[in-house]
Amino acid sequence: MNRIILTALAAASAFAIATPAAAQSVTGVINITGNVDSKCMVVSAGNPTGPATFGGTVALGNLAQADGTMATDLATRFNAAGNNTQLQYKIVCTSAKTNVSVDADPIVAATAVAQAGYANRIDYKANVAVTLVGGAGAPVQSDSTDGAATATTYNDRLAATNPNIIVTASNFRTANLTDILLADSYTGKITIVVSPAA
Amino acid sequence: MRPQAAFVRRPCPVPTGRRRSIVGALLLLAAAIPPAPAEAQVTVYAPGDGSPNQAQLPIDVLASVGGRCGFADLGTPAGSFDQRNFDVTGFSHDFLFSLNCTGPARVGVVSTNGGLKTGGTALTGYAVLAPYDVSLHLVSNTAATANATCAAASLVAGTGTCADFRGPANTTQGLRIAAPSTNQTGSYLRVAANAYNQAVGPTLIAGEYADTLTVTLSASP
Repeated sequence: MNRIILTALAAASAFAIATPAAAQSVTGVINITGNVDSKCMVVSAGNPTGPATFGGTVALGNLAQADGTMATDLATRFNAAGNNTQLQYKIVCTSAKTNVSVDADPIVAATAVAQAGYANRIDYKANVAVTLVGGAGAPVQSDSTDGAATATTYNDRLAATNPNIIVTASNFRTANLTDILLADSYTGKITIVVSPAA
Repeated sequence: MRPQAAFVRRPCPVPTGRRRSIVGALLLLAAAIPPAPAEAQVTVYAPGDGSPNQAQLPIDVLASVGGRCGFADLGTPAGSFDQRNFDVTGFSHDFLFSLNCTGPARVGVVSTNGGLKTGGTALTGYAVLAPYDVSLHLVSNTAATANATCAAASLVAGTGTCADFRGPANTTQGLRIAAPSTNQTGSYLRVAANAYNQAVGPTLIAGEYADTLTVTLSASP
C-alpha cells in the first residue's frame, strides 16, 4: 500500500509579496526660441503729414519785415515752445547702434526770381539733437545749402526718454541781407531718418 | 487494526520534597514550549490502493502591486518651438503628452531663464528677457482634470513663486491630478504670449531669444 501522508496546518499558510509604490519621476525637455528684428519704432510722432511716420508743421507766418527784407526773428519763431509738439519726438530702436540722418531743404517760393535784389529763397541750418542711453549725442546738423544729407551712426541706443529727438533751426538768411522777398507762399522741409545700425 | 501495546512504567517512590521540586520544573518547561498548531492530516493513496488519490493544499498568496507613474511611451512632453519676430506676432503653442500613472500624480515645470532671454545687458528702457506664460492641462481616466497657469518668471528653480507647479515634481510639489491617468490623450503644456508693445516698453532688444522648460513627473499618493 502506497500512501502519502500530507499534513496541512489548520491555520492558513500564506506568504505575501508586496512591492513598494514606485514613485518614478521622469523628465521631458522643451526648447523655445524666437527672435526680435533690428528695427526702429515711433513712440511720440508729433504731427506727421503724408507718408511720414513722425514730424510736424511749423508755421513761420510772414517771412518779410516791413521793408520787404527777411524778418530777423525767424529762428525765434521756429524754436518757440509752442512748436514743441511739432518738433520733438520719441523714437526707440532695438539695435545696439543708431543711424540718424538730416537733410534740410531751403524755404522757397514757387515764383521764380527775375530781378536782382529780390529773393524767393531762405536758407537755414537744421539741428537735430539726439539723446542716447549714455547721454546726449553729438547733434546732427544740415544746412539747406548742403548738397546731401548729413548722417551719423551712434554707438549707443536711443534713450527711452521722451523726447529723445529734438529739432531746432538757426541762421535763417537770404543770399543777400538786403534782398526783397517776393510775395508768394513759401515751403521748406527737413527730412530726418532714424534707422537701426548693425 | 493491529493491537497496540502500551508500556507503562511504575514510577519509583520519591521523597515528597524531591518529588515536589521535580514536578515544578516540569511545569515550567511545558510553559516554555509554544503549543503546536492544530494539524489536519490527510492521507492520499495511490490509484487502486484507496481513496482519495489527490488532495489540495490551500496556500494563500497575498500580493500587492506598487503604483507606477511615468510618461507614456512616445508621450513625453518634449520638443522645440520657434517663433520669428515673436515680439510682433506673439505666440501660442501646445506640447502634448500622455501620463501613465496608476494613481495620483504631480507634474512640475522649471524654466531655465524665467522667460525668453537674449544676450546683452538690459539698459534703462530696454529688456533682454521676454515674459511668457506656461499652462498645464492634465487629464485622467475619469472626468477629473487639473489646470493651472504660471508666468515663466515664476518657474525658476529655487526662487520661482509659482505654487501650482514650479518643479521639480515630487510627492507634494507640482500640479496634481487626483485620479489615475494611463495613456490618456489630452494632456498638454502650453507656452503663450501676446504681441509685445515695443513702443511702450521696455523695448526688447534685437537678437535671438531662448528658454528651456524641464518637465518632471512624480507619483503623488
